[in-house]
Parts: sequence; structure tokens; C-alpha cells
Amino acid sequence: MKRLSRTLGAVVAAGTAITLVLSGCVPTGSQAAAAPQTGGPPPTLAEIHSVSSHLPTGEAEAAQSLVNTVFGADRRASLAATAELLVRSGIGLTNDKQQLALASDEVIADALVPLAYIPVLNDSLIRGDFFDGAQVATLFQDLGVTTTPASSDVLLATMRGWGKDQDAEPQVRMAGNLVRALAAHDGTLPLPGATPRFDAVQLYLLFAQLVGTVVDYHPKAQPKAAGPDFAPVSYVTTELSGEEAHCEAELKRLEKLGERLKDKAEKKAYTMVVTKGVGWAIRGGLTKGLNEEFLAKYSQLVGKSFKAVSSAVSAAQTVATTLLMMTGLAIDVTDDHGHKMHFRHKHGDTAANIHVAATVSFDSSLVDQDEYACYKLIGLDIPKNGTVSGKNEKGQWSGWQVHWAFGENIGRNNYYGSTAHGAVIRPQQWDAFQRNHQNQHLDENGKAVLETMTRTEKEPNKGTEHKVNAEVVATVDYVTKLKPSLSTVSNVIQVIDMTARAITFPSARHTIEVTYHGQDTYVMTGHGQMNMALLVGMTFDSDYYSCNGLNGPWQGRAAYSADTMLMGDVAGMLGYEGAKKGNFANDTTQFSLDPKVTEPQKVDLGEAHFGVQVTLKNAPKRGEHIDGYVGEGTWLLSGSGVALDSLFNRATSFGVFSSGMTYDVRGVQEDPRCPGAKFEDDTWDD
Amino acid sequence: MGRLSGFTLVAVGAALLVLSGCAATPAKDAAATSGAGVSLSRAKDSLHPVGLFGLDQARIARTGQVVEIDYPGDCESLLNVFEASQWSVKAIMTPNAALNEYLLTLRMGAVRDMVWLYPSTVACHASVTEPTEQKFSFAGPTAMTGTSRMLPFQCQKQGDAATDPVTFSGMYDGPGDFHFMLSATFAPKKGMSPIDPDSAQVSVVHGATSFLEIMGAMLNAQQAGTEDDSAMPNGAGYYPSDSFEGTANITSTKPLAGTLTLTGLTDNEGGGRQAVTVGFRCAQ
Repeated sequence: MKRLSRTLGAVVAAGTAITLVLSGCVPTGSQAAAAPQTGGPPPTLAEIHSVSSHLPTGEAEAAQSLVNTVFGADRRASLAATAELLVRSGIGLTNDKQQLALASDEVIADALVPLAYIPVLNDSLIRGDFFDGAQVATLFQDLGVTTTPASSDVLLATMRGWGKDQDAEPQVRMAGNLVRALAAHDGTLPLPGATPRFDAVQLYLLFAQLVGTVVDYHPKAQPKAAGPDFAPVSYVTTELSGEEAHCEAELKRLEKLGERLKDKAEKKAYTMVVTKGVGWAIRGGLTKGLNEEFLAKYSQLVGKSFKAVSSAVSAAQTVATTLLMMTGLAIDVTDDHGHKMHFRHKHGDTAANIHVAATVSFDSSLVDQDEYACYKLIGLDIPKNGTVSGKNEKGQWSGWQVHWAFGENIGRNNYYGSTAHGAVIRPQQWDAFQRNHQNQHLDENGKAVLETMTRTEKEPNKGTEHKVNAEVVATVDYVTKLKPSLSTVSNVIQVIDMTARAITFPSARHTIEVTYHGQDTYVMTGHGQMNMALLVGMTFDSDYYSCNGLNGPWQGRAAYSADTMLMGDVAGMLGYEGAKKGNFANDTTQFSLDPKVTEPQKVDLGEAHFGVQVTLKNAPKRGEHIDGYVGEGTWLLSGSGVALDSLFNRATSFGVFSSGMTYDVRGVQEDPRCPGAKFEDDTWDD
Repeated sequence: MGRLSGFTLVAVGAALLVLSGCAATPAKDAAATSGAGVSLSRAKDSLHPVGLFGLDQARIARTGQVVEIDYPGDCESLLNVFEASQWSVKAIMTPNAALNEYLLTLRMGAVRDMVWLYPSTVACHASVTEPTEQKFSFAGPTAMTGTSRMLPFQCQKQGDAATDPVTFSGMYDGPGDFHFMLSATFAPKKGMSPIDPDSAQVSVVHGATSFLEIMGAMLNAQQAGTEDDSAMPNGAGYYPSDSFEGTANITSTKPLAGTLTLTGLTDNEGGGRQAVTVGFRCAQ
């Protein structure tokens, strides 16, 4: 038994099934229609047109509208929007007759998508399934698209810049807008240093636009476009009886049909990929490194690796459709506490634990479970439609498991990570969790359950309730035997095998709101500098904190210092009386703020009416604590706020300029000056 | 029309002075207006700008053509958020010894917004100014009529009284490679007002990018010590001659908007007479 990595070597049942579907060794759409579908029937052309006709004209606005609709409450519109976003990105949609049903004026000929598959793709989006950057990078490497795994930085930069070149094709610009809008909806913007995540659509568009072959599409100009001469690539067929011959025949048919489609294109060199290694690269957005990697290697791939099938067409289509079909494997994560848990009030109290359950299923709505003709050629186990059993017919483990991760457990909407608390959630059985490399076998019902625990409040229910979003990530994994090299079977099967080995599985994340009681602390700290005509310099400092909410009492220190040169002149210019030479500091005055007041609140510290001024802009409601910005402060001179005094505004011609003259008032989880942290430090139950 | 020579153009020079940390930022006193922006303001019924993501924790307020963003993080992080959104970011000015601020353009298609970023201790405050479309007409040595996208660079009152004059500077982009900047000081009251002759100036440049970006390139060249005539864009500068007449026809005071008509302008060599009529609108 050899354990394959999740991304590199897994000869995966589902993946194989998918590949076999591509190769035609599976039943037809009519049979698929009989299979249970959670997503409902595919969108009709009229529904897609309705969504399209109501989109804003601006590309960014249209992308946003499509994403909003995909995740909206109207199921039919959601499906139609999923179809429309593909079309606008250059993906052609095919109907049950295996004809191109809908496409933009330029279409990627080897990345066509059956309309029947839209519900599955939509379900994957709604579920939030994703592939992380490492999976994507390894997938592309395994497919031979890159020689080395693309780094996270490269993938993120590609997402950031995708289609922002004004000269890029509309389909590329739209795809870039959609990829980023989807990322924004998912809360996973491609920020530098982030962990890249790709949902099924993002991954599919990335692959298709990188290596796909673009052709013109003018259905009205070619009345026969929907006829036999213009038949698009087929994914499913009724003409199968299994075995290698059928696989090979179908693959060759794919090539032939794809070439026909390309031959119909006007002056578009479908040989771009073959001869130049230049597909519809994500112009203007693809980082140079990745661009070179993709194109150079893909050219090589076309020339060598896929020589067996003599054309890049079926190779690209095979891979593209495999990526698409991977979404048929789903992982659903739930828990038994409604996504919520609270810190324990006593050690060892397992009643507060939460059980996170991952259920893996395979939606083979386009696949007949009884006719995986080519499957046996690979010798792999394809899951039945429905939940994926962790047991085989002998009652032994089937190789399916879930990999758990807490690596990104701190949500973006909190400041918990700013203090040294450690994670808020972890497995109850930590040792076993580590010993099993964070993997857990599926049971016979396709389920893996992880019991998780949180920390313990030292003084239960004392203080203000805080919230932290913890995240648990579950990834489908499969461990199986490797068959001997399949190269002796046939060249066609090599292609299938190569694609299957590259398959990676989706992940799902589960967010848990963890609450606990702690301090209600706010702080404001600032350091400002002001320079008048390069002759006089002043510095200002504030360092105040409140342990009892925004209203206070606030305590701490404020100070200013001024150089001794020309201070009298400065005083005159400022129009105030007596900001004296030298230094001034006050650390005895305590004050309060009214959270309901949005006008500036002034605190006069006495010396020449020096003081601080606070303007609350985002005050918490009663009983709430806000972690982060709630307002801003500045200093008072002669009773006037310096940051608001027009005399000190940089817009004046006095040559006055400054920095740091405003500072934030913000809520924090704790401050060492406030008495007693109210929750336990890193005391875990093992 | 010749090549601009260094920073002899007063308007450009004044703008560079701003970038050097010695002058204006967007006016703070504001009045809500309906707005006629062509970019961010297209987000109807929402203050959230179109195509800017990752601002869930930020406080966002809109006044006229200006979107103010208080982002709870440093300005580098906010820049990253902009770049991860649908916009492209081009830095005109980054923090320097004199001024700890950023001046950027946000670009999406043909639209360019002007952005100032001001860091504070743990937050970054952004002021995003959207362009408006304004008609203009040039007659004389430079002859051109059309519609430009205008970014108000300065709308600065010269005193505390309501009747004190206002200095307006606006950057106009388009059509094509035609760009200009116009400055004028006049009374902010409805109706006709004379333009202070000492304040009027018009700079015209031709280039593939916006006036602000051209100005940024000039600034960078100056700071890098690589400034020379060959680096200067083609253009011209016009100033009041003895026969100058200028009129501001103010149609709105909140925001300040109307039409500026300047006649009797001349170039450095005193040749020709240039007339300019242009619409304007302050951001707030």
C-alpha cells in the first residue's frame, strides 16, 4: 500500500471516473437526468438571456452583479448567472445534442462546458468548495503545464492583475473581474502573503484562459453551425460498451470534432497552442514568471507528452473537463452547535466541545454508476453516486479520508492574533490527531467527525463578550494502490492516466464563532510632528487607555515639546497664548467620553489650553465591544484641535506641514495596564 | 506648441510643490451633493465604491465626488487591498521626508480616480476623488473643443469669510492625448465674478496618460535628477497678458461649480492670444 499525496499521485476513483466520462466511457445525459440532482435542472437559454440582459454595462459592475446573483436567493437566476459568467469569460456552453448552444463572439474551443453540468458547478460554488494554492500549483505541474509548482506569490499576483490590461480581450477582462469578485465574496482576496484559494470556477477559468485555444464564433453567419458539421466536443455518449477501444475511439472523436470547430473559425489559428505554445494567456495580468512557465511548458507538453493523441485539442479538453468534473466530488462540513461555541467555564468540561462532521459525496449526475467501461483499465474504485463510503465490500477501509487543518483559524474580522493567546480551537484528542497526520478515515456513511475544544475562562462570564471566528478546513483525500505503469496499455490510456494522477480534491471550510468574556479595553496612542516653515518643530504625544469601555475613565499621558528657537514667533503665528518653550506633560488627568456624541470632545490639560480632542465615529452600542477603529484623536493648542485648525492645514501657504497629527481610538482585546486578563492562557486539555 | 521646459509652467510647478509636501490636500469642509461621478459613484444606494473589496472593517463616507475611507490597518495594506480589487494602482507620490502621504491614481478602464492616503498610528485614511465630465473650448494657438474628465486638485478658500475668494485648480484629461490644468481665483458666489488676473494660468500637455500621472513622472524625474527637456511632454503654458479678462459664472456653491472663461492669455514668448472656456466642479 502506498499513500499518495493529495495532489501529486492520487489515482483517484472519482478523478478517474471523470476522466472516463471525458473519454466517452460513460452513459449519456438522458441517463444522467434520471440521477438525483440537488441543483435542479440546468438553466434555460431564456433564463440565461434574462440575467444577461439585466446586467450593468460596466465590466466590474457586471461581474459583481453576476456574483451577487450566483449567491442570491433565486435558484434559477443563480444557475443562469453561473452559466452567464462562463460565457462572458469565453467558455462555450453545449446542449444535450452536443451542440454549441451559447458562446461569446470568441470562445475557447477546448474548454466547452455542457449546460447539464451547470447545477453541479453552481452547487460547488454555493458550498464554498475550494482548492488551495499548493493544490493548484501541483495540479498544473502534474499536468505538465509548469515544470515546477507555481508559488503562492505568483498565483496571487496573477489573480490581482488578471485582465486589468485595457487592451486585453473582453473575455479576459471579464474573467479577471469575476475571479476577483468571487474572491471578494469568499473573503479571500489575493492579497500579498495570503494563502491562495480557488473555487471551481476560478480554477477552470485559470486553466482555460491560460492554455485554451480561442476561435471566433459567429453562429448567425454560419447557419449550419448547429448542424453535424459544427458539432462541438462531446463529453457524454450513448454509444459505449466499455473497454479500451471505446475510450480511444471517443478521444479521437473529440479531436476530430474539435478540429472541425476550429476549422470553422475565421482566421484564428487553432494551431497557436501546437505551434507557438501561445494560448489565450491572461494578458496583462499574468506575472512574467508564471506566463513563461505556463507557455513554455505547455508548448513542450503539446509537443511531447500528448503526442500520443496527436493533437493538443483533446488533451486540453480532457484536462479542462477533468477540472470541471472534479466539482462533482463534494465535502459538506457541519457541526452540532450551530457554528457557535463559548470558552469553557471550568477545565475538563467537554460539554462545551463542538463536533465538526465532514461528509463526502460524489455527484455523478452525468455518470452512470454501472458502466465505467474504462475504469477497469485503470483498476480503480469509483464511488457510487451519493455519499462516499469509507468501507469497501469486505468491510475494510476503502482509502477515503478527510484531512483536517486549523492553519487559518483566525478570521480576518478580529484582532485576536494581535496578542499572544494561541489558537482558540483545537482537536480534543490532540495526540491522536498529530499521530494520524491530521487525517481521519471516512466511515461507511462517508462521514468523519472531529471533536474540538476551546479554552477556559479564568473568571467565567466576567467582562465583555468577545467574538473570534475560528476556521476548520476539511480536504478530501484518497489513499490507494498504484497500478503498474499503464504505458503498455495504450497511448490513449496514458493520457487518461496522466490526467487522473493529477487530480486533486476540493476542500471546504467551516467557520465557528467562538465567544469568551474578557476586558473591555480601548486605547489611543499617537505621536505627531509639526514643522513650521522649517524653522520651528513641535512634537506631540498621547498614550491613553480605558479598561472599562469607551466611556472611561481614561487615564494615561499627553505631552508636547517645542524647540526653543523662535517660539515666541510661533505662538504669535498660532494666535494662542502661552504655548511655552520646552516640554509639557500631564499624566494625572482622568477623563470620560460620551460614546453617543459624534462631535469632537475636548479634554483641556491646563497648560496653555493644551489637551487632547477625540472624535468618535464608530462607537459601539451598549454592551458591545469593537475590536479596532472607533474614532480618532488629535491635540489641542490654545483650545483648538490642531488637525482641524485651518492655520495648521497643509493647504495654507505658511509652509506648515505635519505628520501623525491624528491618531486612532481603537478597541483591543486586552492591555497589560488593565487589571487581570479574564481568560486562561494556553491551558489546553489533551 | 513646443516641449515644456522643466517646471516653468506655474501650474505644474505649484502642483509639484503640493506633491513635495508644502501645500494642498482635498478640502475638508464639505456639503453633500448628488454627484455625477463616472466611476465609484455608480454604486447606487451604497457608499461602498464599485470594485473596491476588502473594506468590511473600514468606515466609508461619501460627500459629493469624494469617498473617504478609514481603514484599520497601515497604508501599505490598504494599497494591497486596492490592487487586489478591480482597480489598477499607480503611485504618483509615496511618503518622503517632507510628507508622509501617498498620492495615487486608481484606474479602471479609462477612468482614473485620485487618491490621497494619510497614515496614522494604526489606521490609514484614504480620500478618493472621482472625476466629472466637463465641456471645454480652446481658441487661439491651441484650438480644441470637447469633453474632459476633470479631477479637482484644489478648491481652497483664501479666508474664513463666506465671501472670501476660492482658488480652484483642476486637471482635465481627454479627449485623446489632450490634457490641461487650469487655475483661477474668484469669489464663490452665484452669478458672474471676475477672475483674479494674478491667479489665472493654463498648462496644456499631450501624453498617453493622465495629467496627474504626467505630473508624477515629472516629479520623479526631478527627484531622481534625471530631469531634462527631452523628458518633458509636449505642451504649452498660458498666462494673463495685458488684455486678459476672466470671468467665473458660478451656478452652484455646494459644491462650487460653474464655467470659467479666460481670454487674453499668452504663452511664455508673449505670442498669440489664447482663450479658454471650461466647466468646473469642486469635489465637495
